[in-house]
Amino acid sequence: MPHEPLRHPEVGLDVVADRPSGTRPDAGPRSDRRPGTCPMAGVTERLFASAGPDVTGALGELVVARGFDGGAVSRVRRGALWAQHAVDGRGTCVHVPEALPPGDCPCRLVLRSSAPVVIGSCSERYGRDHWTVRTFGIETYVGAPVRIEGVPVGTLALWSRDRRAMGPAAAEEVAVAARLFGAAIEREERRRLLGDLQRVARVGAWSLDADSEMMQWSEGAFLIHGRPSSLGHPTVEEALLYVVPPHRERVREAVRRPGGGCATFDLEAQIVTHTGEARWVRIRGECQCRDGGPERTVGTIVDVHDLTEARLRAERAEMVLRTVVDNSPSVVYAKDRDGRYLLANHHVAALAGRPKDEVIGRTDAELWSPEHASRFRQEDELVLRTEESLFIEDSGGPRGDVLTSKYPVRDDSGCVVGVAGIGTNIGPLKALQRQLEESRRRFELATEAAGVGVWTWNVDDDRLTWSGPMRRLLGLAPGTPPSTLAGFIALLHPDDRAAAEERIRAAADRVAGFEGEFRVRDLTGHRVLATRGMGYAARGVDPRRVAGACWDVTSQHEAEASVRRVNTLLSERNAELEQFLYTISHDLKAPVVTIEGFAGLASARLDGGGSPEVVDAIERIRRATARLSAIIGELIQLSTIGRNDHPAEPVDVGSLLDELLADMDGLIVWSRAEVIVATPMPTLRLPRSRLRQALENLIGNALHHGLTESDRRIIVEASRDHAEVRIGVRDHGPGIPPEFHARIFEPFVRLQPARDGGESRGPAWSGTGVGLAIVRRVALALGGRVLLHSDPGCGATFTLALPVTLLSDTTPEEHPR
Amino acid sequence: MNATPHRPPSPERDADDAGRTGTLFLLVEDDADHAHLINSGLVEARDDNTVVHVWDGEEALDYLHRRGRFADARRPDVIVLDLKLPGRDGHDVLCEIKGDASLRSIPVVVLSTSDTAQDRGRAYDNNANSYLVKPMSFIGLIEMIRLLDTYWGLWNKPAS
Repeated sequence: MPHEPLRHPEVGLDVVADRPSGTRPDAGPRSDRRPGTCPMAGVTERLFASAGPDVTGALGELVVARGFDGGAVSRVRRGALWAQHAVDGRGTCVHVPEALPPGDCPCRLVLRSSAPVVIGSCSERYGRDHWTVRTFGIETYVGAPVRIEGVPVGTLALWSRDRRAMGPAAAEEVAVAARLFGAAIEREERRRLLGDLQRVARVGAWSLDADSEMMQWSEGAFLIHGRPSSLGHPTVEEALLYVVPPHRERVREAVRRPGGGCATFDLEAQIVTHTGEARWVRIRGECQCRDGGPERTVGTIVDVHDLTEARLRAERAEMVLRTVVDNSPSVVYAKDRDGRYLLANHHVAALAGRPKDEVIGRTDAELWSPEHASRFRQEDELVLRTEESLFIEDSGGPRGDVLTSKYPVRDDSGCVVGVAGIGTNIGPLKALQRQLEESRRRFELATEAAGVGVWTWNVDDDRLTWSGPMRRLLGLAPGTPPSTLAGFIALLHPDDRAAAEERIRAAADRVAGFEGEFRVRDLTGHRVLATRGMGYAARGVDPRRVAGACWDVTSQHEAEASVRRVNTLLSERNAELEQFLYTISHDLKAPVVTIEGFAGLASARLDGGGSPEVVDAIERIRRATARLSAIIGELIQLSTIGRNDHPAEPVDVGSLLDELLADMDGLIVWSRAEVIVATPMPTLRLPRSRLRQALENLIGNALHHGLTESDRRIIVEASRDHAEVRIGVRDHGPGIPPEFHARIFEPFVRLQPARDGGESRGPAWSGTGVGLAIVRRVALALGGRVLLHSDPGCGATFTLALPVTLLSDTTPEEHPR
Repeated sequence: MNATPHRPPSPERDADDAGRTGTLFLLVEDDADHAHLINSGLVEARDDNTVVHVWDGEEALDYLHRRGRFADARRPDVIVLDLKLPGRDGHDVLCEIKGDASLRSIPVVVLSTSDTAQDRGRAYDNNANSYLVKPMSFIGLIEMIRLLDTYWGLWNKPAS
């Protein structure tokens, strides 16, 4: 298989393309080879790929001719360098000439590793000792070390059958090639390192060309933006679209520097990645200028999402803390171990009499009086020493009525680094507590004094508690422990138990009130307790409770029963009395009729004759009879007023008066009196005859007692206020002395002696002393009263005052007050 | 004039009086004095008036039903009835008279001392023909009896 030898144009090396002959019998069967698993595969290929023009510049054009499945085959055109590697069954990388295509590979470029470093992951495993270099008898070897970062990592060797070509010049060429080769590897490694670095550190680099507005993004930049590299580099506007709108303008301005000027910038912004994820990035850049104008901008972009999020969270947390602390009604502060204030709200500042900023960083000794500062410091030191919270309640102390709590402040590792304190002004609370205590005491005293017992039943745990007075009411010994509802019910009278329990349970179920009475056993029998209570839910939710108050109404019950008995007795007696009066009056009437009848008969028979003594005697009998008859008549009237045997009807008082005055005309004329109805009269709804009775008596009374020689007027007038309608009869007589005002309405009470005469008293004068009593009884029967106003010497006014409810609906007019 | 005991009712006298044109009053009155005054008044008002006086309700009904000694009694033209009577009272008697078809046409004038609405109402409810309250003056009494005679004895035309 002769090949035309090719000469390297610069090295002057003829590389004979010749198929290597002879194979080692122990090279292993082909079947043992595991193509694709050679760790060198990628390395060699990458090496040659990245060596690029520099290597080819030295050794000719390096072309990766084929894939590496069966071993990488690299060829230097004209130089015809070939390399082939395979892995045998023991994991040893061997040169497999059979893999070479026929007619190729006149010589080999073998990279021998001399140190377990760098060249891919295989370098460690396939160190020097694992390399097996097959030599072919007549071939000559020229090698040079390949170094990366100055460290030898392998050898670049040239094999040739042409010994002549392997002179110093060739060795120099190989050395140059090895150096270039090492540098190429170095570049490649750096590039990879940079890529890894960018990916791991989430850092990217970018540049912006001012003219084209095109950006160049590093691999990291693509990664941070989540932009597929297939989309290529973005324009600046495309890149800005990744920035969230609120930040976009700021970034645009920084990156494009529209105002010119070459400066650096450093900002944080939020972007939305290609996959829709919002992330914080830090963009730094530098504007590079040429000839006074921006040429390009270069910079980095760093994903600072976690950091920024953490910072923002911390800022928010701090803001919340500050808001809470500043708005707390309490005194809030924190101090470091040395007692310097790290945190203080305005209450602290107010107490210290300094602005808040001046409190921070100061110690107690600088802010408070020596004794206070010393005391505070002692407390702080106690907290720092014990690492436990401390509660101090001051009453009227240096801090006023304050409840102070102090807590150790710990850092991340749990070390106590300071003291935090919260001081709450409990002055108002204390005052409330005192008030509550006071009102509780007053309540207890009041219930005690009133004999009111209080009990509470907690529905859920069926616990019934009672106050001291309650125990007494139930006849329990002092200190009897709380019971249950059943225990309470058992104390009641058997007949009352079911009803009491039902009411209490209903109150609990409906959260409603209840009241009732029940009996409890007593040494002396049963006592009656009135109770009133309420079901309620504490704080508007369960557990439900029923609270009740009880008081003893036994004596009230007894009194009521006794009043009822007395009332019954009284009404019976009254009825009897009325009946008695009625009967007596009628029985009295019969003999009066007889006496008058026979006296009259006698008088008629005398007919002007007879002795004057007899005539006088008969006249005296007849006058006495007339008087007796009048008394009886009025007694009957009096006894029947209370009877409800006259129906109420609308009565026009004006026309009633007209009628009455007409009937009394004889008496009025005889009395030479003038009766004046001075105001319009109301219409009332009442028994007509009763009102007539009352008015007749009032006017009659005035006619008989209320006239003087100088003034014989009697005024009848009406008035009303919100409660009463009044009809007054006013005379201008001598008046009634005050000492008689109370007695004058009693029956048979007269202020003037009942002289035997009737003749001076006029035709209808009875003078029985019952008249005003009748008026009073009429007024009472109608729900009203009789008023007397009289000053001696100035006449008297008797007023019939009736409730306005008697005003008939038909009354057309309002009456002046 | 001295008060004299009222003469007892006498059927014989009634028989003697048969054919007289005057009015026959049956006076039911337990008070002897009142009976005397009323009797005097009626007789004085007209000479031919006859007054038969019985003392109580039982006697009045015996008379009206012609029982016992009143078997031949003449039917009265007018009954003057007091309410307050021993035994069966005036209301009771009135009730029985007006409940009896043969008697109910006889006018019954109640003459009582009672002026109560209760008594008046009850009497009229039981179909009394008139209710008069005994006046407490002699003049009034005499005048009332005169008028009673005039109205019930002279002018009133009974059914029978």
